[in-house]
Amino acid sequence: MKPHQLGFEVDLSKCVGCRACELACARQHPEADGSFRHVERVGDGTRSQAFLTLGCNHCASPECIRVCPENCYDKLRNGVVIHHSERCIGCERCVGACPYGAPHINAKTGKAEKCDFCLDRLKEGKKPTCVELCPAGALKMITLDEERTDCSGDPLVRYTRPSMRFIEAREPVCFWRKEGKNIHGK
Amino acid sequence: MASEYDANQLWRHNTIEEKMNIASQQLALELAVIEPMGDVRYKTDALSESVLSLLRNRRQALLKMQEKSFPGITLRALSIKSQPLGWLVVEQDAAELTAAQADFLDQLVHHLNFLLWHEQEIIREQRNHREQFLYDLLYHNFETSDEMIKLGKLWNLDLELPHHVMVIEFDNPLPAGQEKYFLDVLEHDWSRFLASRFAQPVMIQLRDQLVVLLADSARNLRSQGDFTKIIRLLMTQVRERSPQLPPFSLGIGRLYPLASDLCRSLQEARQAVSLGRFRQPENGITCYEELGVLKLLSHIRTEELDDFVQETLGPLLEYDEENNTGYLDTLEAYFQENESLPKASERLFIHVNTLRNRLKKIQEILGVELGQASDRVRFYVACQAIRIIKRTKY
Repeated sequence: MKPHQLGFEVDLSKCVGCRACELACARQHPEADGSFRHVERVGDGTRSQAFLTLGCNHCASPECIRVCPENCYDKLRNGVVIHHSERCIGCERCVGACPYGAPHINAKTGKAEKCDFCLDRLKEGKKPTCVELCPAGALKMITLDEERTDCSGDPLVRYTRPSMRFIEAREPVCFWRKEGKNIHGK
Repeated sequence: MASEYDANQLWRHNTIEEKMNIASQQLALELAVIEPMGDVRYKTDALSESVLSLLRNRRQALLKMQEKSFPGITLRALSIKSQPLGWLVVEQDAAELTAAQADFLDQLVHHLNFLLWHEQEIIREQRNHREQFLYDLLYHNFETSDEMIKLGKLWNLDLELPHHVMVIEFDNPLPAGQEKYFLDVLEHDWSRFLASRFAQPVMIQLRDQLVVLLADSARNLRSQGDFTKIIRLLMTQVRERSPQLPPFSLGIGRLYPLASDLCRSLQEARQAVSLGRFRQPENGITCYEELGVLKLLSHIRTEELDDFVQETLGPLLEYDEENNTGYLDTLEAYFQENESLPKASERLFIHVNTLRNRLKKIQEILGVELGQASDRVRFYVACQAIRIIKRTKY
């Protein structure tokens, strides 16, 4: 397989904050301590719909790979960053280092865990469960091969290069029915 | 008449080692397989050392296929479709072999031919996947280091040696279509100059970056400082050779002894090239080890850094803005030159006494004594933070 980079695309106009992605993730990974994805309310409150779904960004330069003393993290040829829990000693260095808060410690096992891009589903030719079950179509799986990360922005974003693309939220448009017009033609 | 040897036994085993052992047991002879370059691929336990030393001494004759037999040794050439695969060595004179033994050896040769050819085909196929191998190596996409060391040998890459990891990246986004062209030019030029200093430099383009692996032999382990000096010299040569290249910067990761830590060194090199631009926006060389406080500051939100800068250097920034004095630049240069007055004045193209007066004025404005270590550290950190803020849009 030629190396490439899979990632997520979030259309902020479409996300309605229903948390279906969170639930889908938790259902797909019953052994995990909660969902690997979470939805946050964002913005300054000027826009009524302002939600952001976040999980592991499967960065091009992952901090988790750099800091893990046991080399628990691999980056596969499709760009997916996976965690090998059998080697994990639960030192939490990856938890602290990830600027996006992707890895967390499973209270039962005492080991780190994170989104694996639903690798089993990918092998079957399916999309990650959060993408598949997003009812608004706000979350998509994309390939970010040709793109260069903008040099500006937060220093952490500059060098971690998250495999995430956002489509900025557009202002909602209201359509009003004209007065006196009967839409049912009666 | 049925042969006293059962050649079907050979079919029941899958590896060269197993087939050789079973043949040795049946024939009651000691055997070995020699590779085309004369190295021993496998030998049975009791094969005498004198046989091997004889073959070593007559290696050139063997490689030229000039001699097909030696005293006390029978040699059978292993090949498929005129492709040499090595030799089967039998510790017995050819004349002393019985017909049944010779038949059995013929069978063994067929089996070995197939297995060796199969191995070579796998190796050839693996060689075609150099890019994937390097990707796996750099992203720790493997089970054990031994596996990668073995695979590395396919490309003459000695992964048992520590490797420097260097990342080269253009400083500004390039127009679509030009990035690949310039990256190719960069790779070509660097490979040419690196080859003069390092044995077999390895290069791979990962998206918009050029990643370079340079082996450092254990006997002559270069310090990071020496290594940077060499790279700086080579960078000048690359610049001179291709002045049309857009500005590019380099990041160098730490040197680790194990292949499993190359992924760590790559991420460090990437962090160095990215954060190094806060110090030198273009054409810089940054070692991860030298990042210092900049590494810590990169983990703090820009808004918080801004607050810290305003608290610490606010009066100076206001004074500079009102009077167009450039005292902040003076303070930065003073810290950059390790608080050396002669060097800082040279950097600023001013007299040392002028610099002294400026520093005195800065202390007055800020109401501090730069002689105090705690104050010095605070202002040094603030000067570093201001670089991040200047180059960060938020």
